[in-house]
Amino acid sequence: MTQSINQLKQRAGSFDWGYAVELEDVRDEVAIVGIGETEYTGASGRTAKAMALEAVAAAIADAGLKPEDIDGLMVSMGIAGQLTPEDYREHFGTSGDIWFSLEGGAMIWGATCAHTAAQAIRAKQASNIVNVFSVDWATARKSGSGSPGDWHASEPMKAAFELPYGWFPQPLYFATFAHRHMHEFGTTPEQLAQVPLSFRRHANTHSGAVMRERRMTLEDYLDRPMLADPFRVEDCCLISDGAGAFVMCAAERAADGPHVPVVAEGVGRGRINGAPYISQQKNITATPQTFAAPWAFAMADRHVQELDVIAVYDCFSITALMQIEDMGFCKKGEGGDFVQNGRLHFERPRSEGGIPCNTHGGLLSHAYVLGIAHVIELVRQLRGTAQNQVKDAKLAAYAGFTADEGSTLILRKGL
Amino acid sequence: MITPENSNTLTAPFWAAAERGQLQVSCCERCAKDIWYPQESCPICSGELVWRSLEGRARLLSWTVVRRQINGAFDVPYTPAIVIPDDAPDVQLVTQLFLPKGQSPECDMPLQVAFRRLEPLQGAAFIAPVFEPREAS
Repeated sequence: MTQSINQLKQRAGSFDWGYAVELEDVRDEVAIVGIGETEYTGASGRTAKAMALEAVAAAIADAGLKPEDIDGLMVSMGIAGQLTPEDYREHFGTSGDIWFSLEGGAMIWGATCAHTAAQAIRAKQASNIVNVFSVDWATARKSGSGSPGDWHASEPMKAAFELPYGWFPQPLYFATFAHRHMHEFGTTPEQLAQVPLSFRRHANTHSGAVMRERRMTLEDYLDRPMLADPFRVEDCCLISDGAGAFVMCAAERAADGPHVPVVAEGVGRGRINGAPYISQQKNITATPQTFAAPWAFAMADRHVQELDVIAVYDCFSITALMQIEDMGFCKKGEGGDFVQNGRLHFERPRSEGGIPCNTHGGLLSHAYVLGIAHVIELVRQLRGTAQNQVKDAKLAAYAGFTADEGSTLILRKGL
Repeated sequence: MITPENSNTLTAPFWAAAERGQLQVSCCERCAKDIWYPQESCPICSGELVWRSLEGRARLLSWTVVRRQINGAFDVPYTPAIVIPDDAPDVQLVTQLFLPKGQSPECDMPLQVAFRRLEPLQGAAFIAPVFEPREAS
């Protein structure tokens, strides 16, 4: 039965330093039926558009559809080189109308796109929607033409009060957060290390991971020089080229496809007070996942302990660790202890006290494609075709992040 | 790009005050709440925002030491931080810490404002409110 906004609000609770966006109940309305990716690499010379088209073509074929079947396109706004309906029609030689949304792609929208798609499908604006994210930042960095830190100088408050002190780009924000977490909860460098080490281990047995050949031990990690205390380079995401895409349609139409459908059960989106300035965040040992996850669990009518596998936006080691706490796997502050003893490894299922996390290697060791590959990896886990397959995975969650906002997508195997 | 610009009337008073040796934040003239970062008007009561001077005592919320060149801003190492002024507890100021050699920052340590000339790698030097350890008194 569909829950009202008030019912969801009551179940999700309220907070004094941020809030959940009031997303209406779309439980079981949308399924992911096709996935596609390019190769993930360092600087490749490819354009974001060319990679996006390759990933889209692969996702459509994987869904058993043809390019003319697609009547909806979702991308992330504000990221250069994303696809437009015109690009799509020109490349695939189609002529039909395409519903278009800039509230898609990756980061937080890797989760919330399922909600936006459900609304478009309800309104009969689209029936087969492809969501795509593409990035050429490795190539751009080489040519000095673009980077994830670009927007700092163009934002007037950051330009006035943060840049003059050299508090940018993102690694410095989260290094600052990490010290507070260490101070309040006694989190140690050795504990934090288990986040990059666990993800690297997954990358080492995943053919698509940029860092597949690069092994890392705790000693290797501790021996690495500091970038910005307490972060080493290994605590920070890669910079990559690559694209990923997935096709969504109404769950009731998903049974006919070539693969077991992956159904969106719950979606949440949270935002800090004072957004977009995380320097003003009133609780810097947590993330807006705090607000997103309860809403998604309420919508899905699920409990965190039911999840078999998760993919957490790991732009930095500490953001993954804090989001694991904020989803409710352990109490706030206990994350450093929680991630020990292989608890994030794919071989340690929930029945043995684990919660397999970022089984492809994450942004830290797979590729920095801002979360699109996280969702694709979860689809593979639920299909049972992942390289680091979690035994009997039936329920998964993606935790998305854009610093001042967080999101949660709960996915189920089968209709 | 590192040197603050004085063309933005919303933010320039902070830096003008620093030139005079004052640490100022914006607050609402009507409801007296500190509003940080400054806005066109008070988001709570729509009152006019004015600048008020702080005493300069603060505590350290958190910090990092930049060890490798990451942004072209300053020579490394340097120590960006977020501090909470004692007399403006709703405000979190991004700043830099200057500690005596051999002393490490510690979250919650008491601090005192100082006005130092910062010299970015590109652009003009400027006077900035920064923070130093406060002697126990």
